[in-house]
Amino acid sequence: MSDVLSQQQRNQPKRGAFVTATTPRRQRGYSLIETLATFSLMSLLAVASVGILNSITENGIDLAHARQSRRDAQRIADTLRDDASRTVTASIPAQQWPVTLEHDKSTTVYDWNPADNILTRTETAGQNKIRKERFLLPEDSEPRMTLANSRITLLIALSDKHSPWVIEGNLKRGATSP
Amino acid sequence: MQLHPTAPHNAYDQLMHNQPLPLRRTATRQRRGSLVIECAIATLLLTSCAVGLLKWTQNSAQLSRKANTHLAASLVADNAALRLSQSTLKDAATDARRIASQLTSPDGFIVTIDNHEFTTGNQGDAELRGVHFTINVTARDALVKITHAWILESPGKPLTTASATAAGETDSAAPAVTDPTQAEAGDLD
Repeated sequence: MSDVLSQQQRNQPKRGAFVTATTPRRQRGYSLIETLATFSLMSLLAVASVGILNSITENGIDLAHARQSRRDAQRIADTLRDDASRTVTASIPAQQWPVTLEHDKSTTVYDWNPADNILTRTETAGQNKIRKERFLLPEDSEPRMTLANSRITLLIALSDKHSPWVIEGNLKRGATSP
Repeated sequence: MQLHPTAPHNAYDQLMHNQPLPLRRTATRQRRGSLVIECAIATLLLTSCAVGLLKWTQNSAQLSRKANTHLAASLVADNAALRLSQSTLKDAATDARRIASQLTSPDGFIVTIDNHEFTTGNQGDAELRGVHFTINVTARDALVKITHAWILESPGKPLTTASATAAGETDSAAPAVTDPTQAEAGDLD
């Protein structure tokens, strides 16, 4: 076997020698069909990879948005209940927003920004702005605030036919709504 | 020297030419390589990865929906506790039933409120009486949220004007007052 191999090595063309003419067809390289098939597969791989990466990124963004909106919904529940318990006068305009809650020494205004899906809460005392908060809500949530039976209710609808988020807060005793 | 393309042109090829067919194919492949096979393997790997990623995406979306449902149930339970905080010891059972029916929606959550009276035994001469509410929020036959709320009689004050409430998520452990606040008395529906 070793004799055969050494003979084969001796029969190999020397480096730099003109080998094209003596090389059999099967050693020359890739055929056009093979190359086309390869490039087709590579293109398919590239397109699929980009699509998968895009969907993963979008999914990640959606999940982060949903997580943040859940956190903010819990935060706004605490804030609204606290605001309601201090409210002396509440007014909700016909076009829903902004909602104004008058307290003894301050005023809180809730306003909805549909472009950014953000509910803002601004508390002022006279001309001084005490605090401004922003709450990210789910997309297309269209929050609505209502007043009934000495209770203020914030309803946040979810787009995917789930149970809406309903936040209630009891108004201060004797509170009025114009 | 001109060789016929199919003819063995050295001893090694002569040897391989006489071998059975699979060995000859292996030798040819080793020299040529195959981009097509490599791409096919890469496609297979990508497909398996894509399936895994799609499953992960599906699971995360399902978890997000569950979290939304859980938050909605949690808010409903908190609303029930808030309404119960305005109840009185005398009307506790009636109010519990009424509030449960108000918050129950046919296509949403089923709210049940259990209540039982208790007295505190470590207040000396003035024992406090109170009502312990257990608020269960159920969605599609699955219990989503349990919240406990209490109203307590304040010594020296009428029951209807003062009470202390607490609400918090508990499991099988004994309920503890986690966030005691003075409840505002107001009108119920």
